[in-house]
Amino acid sequence: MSINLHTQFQYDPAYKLIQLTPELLEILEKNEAGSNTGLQFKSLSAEGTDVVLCSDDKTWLIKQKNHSNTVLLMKEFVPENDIQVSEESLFGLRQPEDNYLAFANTSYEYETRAVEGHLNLNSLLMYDGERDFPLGADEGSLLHSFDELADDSPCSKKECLSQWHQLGGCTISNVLCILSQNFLSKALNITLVSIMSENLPLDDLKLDATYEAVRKGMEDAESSTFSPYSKEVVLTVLNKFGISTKENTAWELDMLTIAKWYGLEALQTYVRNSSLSVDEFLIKWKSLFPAFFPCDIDVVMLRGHYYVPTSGYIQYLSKDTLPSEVKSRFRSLFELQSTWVLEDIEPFIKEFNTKGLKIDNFIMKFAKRKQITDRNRKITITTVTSR
Amino acid sequence: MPKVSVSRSRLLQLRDEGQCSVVTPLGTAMLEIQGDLAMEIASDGCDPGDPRVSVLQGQQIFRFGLLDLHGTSREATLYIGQKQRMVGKLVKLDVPMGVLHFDTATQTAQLQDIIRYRLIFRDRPLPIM
Amino acid sequence: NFTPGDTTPTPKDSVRIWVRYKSGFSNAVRKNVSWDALWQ
Repeated sequence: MSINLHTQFQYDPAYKLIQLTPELLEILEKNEAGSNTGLQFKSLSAEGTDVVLCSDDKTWLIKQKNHSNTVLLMKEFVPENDIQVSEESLFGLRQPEDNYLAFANTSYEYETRAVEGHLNLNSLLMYDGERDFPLGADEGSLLHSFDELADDSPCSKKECLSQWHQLGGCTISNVLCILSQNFLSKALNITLVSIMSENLPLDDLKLDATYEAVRKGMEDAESSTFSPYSKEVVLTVLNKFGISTKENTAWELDMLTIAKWYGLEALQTYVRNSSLSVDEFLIKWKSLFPAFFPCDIDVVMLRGHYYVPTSGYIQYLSKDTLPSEVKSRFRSLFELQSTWVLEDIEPFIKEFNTKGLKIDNFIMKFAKRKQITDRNRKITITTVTSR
Repeated sequence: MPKVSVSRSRLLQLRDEGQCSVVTPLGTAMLEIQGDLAMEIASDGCDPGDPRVSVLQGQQIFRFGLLDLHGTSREATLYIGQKQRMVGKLVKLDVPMGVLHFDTATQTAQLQDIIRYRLIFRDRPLPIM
Repeated sequence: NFTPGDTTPTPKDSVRIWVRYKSGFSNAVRKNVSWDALWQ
């Protein structure tokens, strides 16, 4: 079978090739019926920012991969006039019946790399419990609905919502904002105290009942003064510290997240500049919770936020204060602590493992391994030391 | 924030049901050559009397070669002009490729087709014998 | 030292098209894309 090949004199640069990974194909299949593919390109600005491709729940970074071959995109067409190929141009083949036309010559393809989408925080204010909010803010830059925020973020909607909950996103006076760490701590504490005093079920909390408990608690405390603990704030607390059940009509408290929140506060309050024994630290940590709050704690919950200056002691360590270059990061960590348990050091360095190696193999590039067998517990602990 | 939804005007056959033809069900083909496809047009323009020139939808197009598909073997020969012959084959792409059209005038993006196979010509051109 | 194609009379030669072969293939360069680049 032979085919005539034609070309346009000018190729159309508007055609681009994009890699369709199995996940992207699945999304296209899911939306097979309509004209909308369920995919959207987004970028923070026209120039100087990355372009991402978003589905409802995932985000891909677009990268342009140039190559040195000629890749022609061709389409079948029916000629307007009869085409007869001269005998000497047929090289013994039969007269072609089909005709293809090259309409684009692509020198690159778009790679689609799954990434974590990021919420655009540029237009969000911080709320610290003040009565007058937003005071003196530029009305034009404020956001009033979550949909606006999701629309304005290079991120899928589902990722936006999950990050919004993680960050403590809230709506105060019809303006989108993030609750400050300090205010969110107070709001959490008041919510937990109120839930306990009203004996609400920790695994089946309703927004209205929880808010009612908080309101009652505030009334009892100081009547007639302004309470910043609105229903929206209580909702933010439930979304940040609870797991929603029954299609967002109820929440179950997420004990691990709550324990970590108080633990981080304990690290920053009690062992920021000097260490404490682990036992003393655990007592301090427990003291931050509302009385009788049923929550297990263990220092390993706080991995990635502390180091062990001497055996049995603990001190706060913020990743933000460590060098941002990998070798210096390892050097700093080993200056603070000469031997690390693998699981303890992992959160401080995993961001550098961009090739996705097995984490111990990655660490071995910068450190030595030492196996310690604990006879009492009959397990082998892998520790790493400076290389 | 700049954004555009990806739409499509034609139903794409999304599932790969053992298809292994040169063109997609919508009639698109991908032809890859290791090297450049060079074109030179005389300074007084292309001669409309040249039998290789024809007109499609008001636009001049040029017949530059011939593709010979060898039955079901997936092997193919590409003849470029009167002098060059390349031997290649039809291969499945590792990752299927979407053909997107970005229309500047309407600021729309449209998925035109999905390509799973390409004709690839990797070897040095041979003389035509 | 000629190829048969050289002796074949070609109709008119106002257009020439040929493959300039490359002995290698490269695709090392990857770069992030800007919004404006999508529409160019």
